[in-house]
Amino acid sequence: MVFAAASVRDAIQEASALYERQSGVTPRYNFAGSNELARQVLAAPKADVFLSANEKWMDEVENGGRLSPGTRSTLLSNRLVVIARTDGPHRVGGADDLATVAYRHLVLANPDAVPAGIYAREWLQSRPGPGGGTLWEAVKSKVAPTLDVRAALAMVETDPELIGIVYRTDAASSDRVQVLYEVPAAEGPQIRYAVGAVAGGPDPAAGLGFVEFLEGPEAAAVFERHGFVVGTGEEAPDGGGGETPAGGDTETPADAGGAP
Amino acid sequence: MDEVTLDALRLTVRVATVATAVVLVPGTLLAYLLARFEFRGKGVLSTLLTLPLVLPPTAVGFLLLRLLAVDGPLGRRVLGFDLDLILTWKGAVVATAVMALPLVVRTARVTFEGIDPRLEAMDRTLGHRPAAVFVRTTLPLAYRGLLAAAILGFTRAVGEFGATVTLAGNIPGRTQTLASAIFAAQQAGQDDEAMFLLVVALAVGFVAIYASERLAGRTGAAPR
Amino acid sequence: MSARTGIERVVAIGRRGTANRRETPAPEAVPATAGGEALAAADELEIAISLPLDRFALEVEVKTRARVTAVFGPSGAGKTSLLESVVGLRPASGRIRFGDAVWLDSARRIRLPPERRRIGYVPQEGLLFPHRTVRGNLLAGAARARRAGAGGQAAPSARLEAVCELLELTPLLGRRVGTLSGGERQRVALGRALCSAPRLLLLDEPLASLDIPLRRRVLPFLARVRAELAVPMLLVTHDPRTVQALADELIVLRGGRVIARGAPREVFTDPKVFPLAEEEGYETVLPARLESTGAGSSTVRLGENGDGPLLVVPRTDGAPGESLLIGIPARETILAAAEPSGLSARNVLAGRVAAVRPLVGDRGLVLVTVDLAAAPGAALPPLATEVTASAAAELGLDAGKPVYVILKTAGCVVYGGRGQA
Repeated sequence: MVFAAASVRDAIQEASALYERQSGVTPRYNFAGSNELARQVLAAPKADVFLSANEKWMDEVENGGRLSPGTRSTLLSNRLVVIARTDGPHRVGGADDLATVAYRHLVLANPDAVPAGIYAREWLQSRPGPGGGTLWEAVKSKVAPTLDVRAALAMVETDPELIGIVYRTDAASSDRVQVLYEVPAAEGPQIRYAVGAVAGGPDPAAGLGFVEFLEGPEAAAVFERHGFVVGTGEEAPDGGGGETPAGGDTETPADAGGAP
Repeated sequence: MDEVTLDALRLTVRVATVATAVVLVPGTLLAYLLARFEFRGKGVLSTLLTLPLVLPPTAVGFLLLRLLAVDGPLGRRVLGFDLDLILTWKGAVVATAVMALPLVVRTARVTFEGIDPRLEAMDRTLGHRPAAVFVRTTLPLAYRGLLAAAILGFTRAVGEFGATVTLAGNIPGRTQTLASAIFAAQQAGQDDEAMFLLVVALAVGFVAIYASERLAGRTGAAPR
Repeated sequence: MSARTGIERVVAIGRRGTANRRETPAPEAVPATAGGEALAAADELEIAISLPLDRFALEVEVKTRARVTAVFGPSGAGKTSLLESVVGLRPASGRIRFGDAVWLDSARRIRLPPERRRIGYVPQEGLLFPHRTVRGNLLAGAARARRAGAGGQAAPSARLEAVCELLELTPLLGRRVGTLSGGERQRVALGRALCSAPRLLLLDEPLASLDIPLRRRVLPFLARVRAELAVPMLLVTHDPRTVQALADELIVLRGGRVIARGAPREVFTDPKVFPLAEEEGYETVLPARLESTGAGSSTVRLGENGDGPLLVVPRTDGAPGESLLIGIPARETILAAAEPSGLSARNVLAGRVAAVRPLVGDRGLVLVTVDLAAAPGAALPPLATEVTASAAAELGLDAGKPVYVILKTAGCVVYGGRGQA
């Protein structure tokens, strides 16, 4: 039983097929926001594997004593991107533009709870805003929080006047949004997807096996194909985000943010 | 009570009241139509009206988003003007209204079906047109049931979350109702805050039910 | 007779009626129940419709100017459907016209909805409005009455008063519908229809939902409506007593078709129709006036004006001179070729055989109609009696032959009298 952050859904299901062929074990999945998943793991012994979109929620689970010791690792990284509808008129060349461009709302997955939103907030909090204070404070009034990243995407798809911040992998999954700006690894927050085997679940042995698979090369290839960065995401100097594919196709960003 | 909570409370009452008011008349008329008439497409209408009950609320919210997108069937490009429902309190009203409508229609329909249609026919033989019959005979007999429908719609509206947050977001002060505030607090791990808001929401619910029971009791005639 | 005249009459009679009822017999003639009054063309009802029902199609073509037309037939003959078509609650194809108002004409695609036909409908179940008081129900059609009254004559309140007098509804005015008895409900339903100033009154089985004692009490109210108001009536019933008490013209419906038509007593004694009428036991219903009341019985004089033979009937309360209806069951009569004596039966009526007709079926019965001896002006309808064929042959019963009719007191049925209805 695998509890995994919603943003890895497509990738992990593809990897899963591979795993089934290899091991004959069929993992079952529970996809949701990492915050919800963490609470569920803490509440009941139903999971064998937990893949969180940030370290914070993994910390919670570990502190709650539910992780099998020594099974935790940082599996993936992602990039934040600033997006708009494909026919959106606004242009964002850098963080500061967010304070000046005349968009209607800045759509984020709940910046208090959902990792994608939390990362976005952290990024904006790390940048200075015009006239003192952080960039976050400057744009806060325009922020529209949504339930999760998918809802944020759907929202941005409705109106070209909206701007959103989501994961690169999410932007890639929709053909109605374009990436206006990819937050470089150096500038952005440390997006770290952590994975670990959960103790006391229905099938801990299978859980361990799956975690090992996820850390292996075949899974890595799948993740990269979907736009993830395998590993911690600290990268080579050119990691400025690579192309900004207008039209946001599921281009395999073979060199964009490729792991070293 | 802090500002955020007050805002959420005010907005909840406002949205729920307006949403209930908005669906009451159309809902009643639709219910009467479904109760009394046969027509082509009746099944389709009935199904459409049941959809928000059957679908997960967020799915309804997504549907509304699609409809109201700038190039959607009800979007700015098609209508020529902006309905201004996305991420606004008006959108919260619309989403809430959509979720409450099926309950109102259902309850009202059952009420109308419980009224002997021959009484309406009798009133017609006394010289009144169908619209007049509806007002003179049907409504007075349906009164209690329609009140129940309104109450049900209102309580549903107070608790509505999924569709509203998807269409109108969860913007404190603008579109954050008690329900979405509870959810947000919960999500962020602020359990105490969540509990507090929950209690406030319960209080609103109790007040609504109590007021409506009194209303129904006061206007009710001797039991038949 | 225009509606306005009728309303004036209602008001006038209503005001006079109370006074009269308490004192002396009302001098104005209670119109005869035998042979009808014909109305003007303005009140001619024409029905020519075709309506498919469950087991057959209703095909009726009649024109009537009678004051009260009754449609008689067994249950399921299509009577209610016919009535509902005239009301406008049931779609039919064909033509329905009342006077100069065309209510239905399929050929010209005319079909007026019920609210545009000025009818008063009294359905079998009454259908009183539960959310209104009796007064509220009575005034439910007042708006139309006001429109029809044009000129303020007979304002709704005056009409209401008159109808309440007629049907004795005044003490019930403030009551809620749910507290009324069956007879009271029927009277209120009737009153409601009357207060709406209808051009035509339609009644569906007016007594069917009442138990026997109640029927006896309510029938006279219907007779009063007929007598004192000028509204033509179309009534539908499977009860021959109601027909005889009220109707000027009878139409017999069976299997959706008209099988007989004419003056009620003639039609009923038609061998084709009599079997339908005698299912519950056929009674000849005769008008009478109360003479006196004793310990266990009352004495009445048959005839509208009480100038026919005396009859001893079961005891009934009432003032001498009061109008009543007496029902004489055909099966309860005994015939004698010569004047009998020493009988326990209190009633022996002299008369002449009008006709002897065999009845269908193998029961060996014949229907003997007897013209009772009475003063020439009494205009009593013939009495229907049932005897075995062999008895009739033995007594040599033939048209014109003198005969005596023997009736027990208990065999007579009294319709009317005081009491709660």
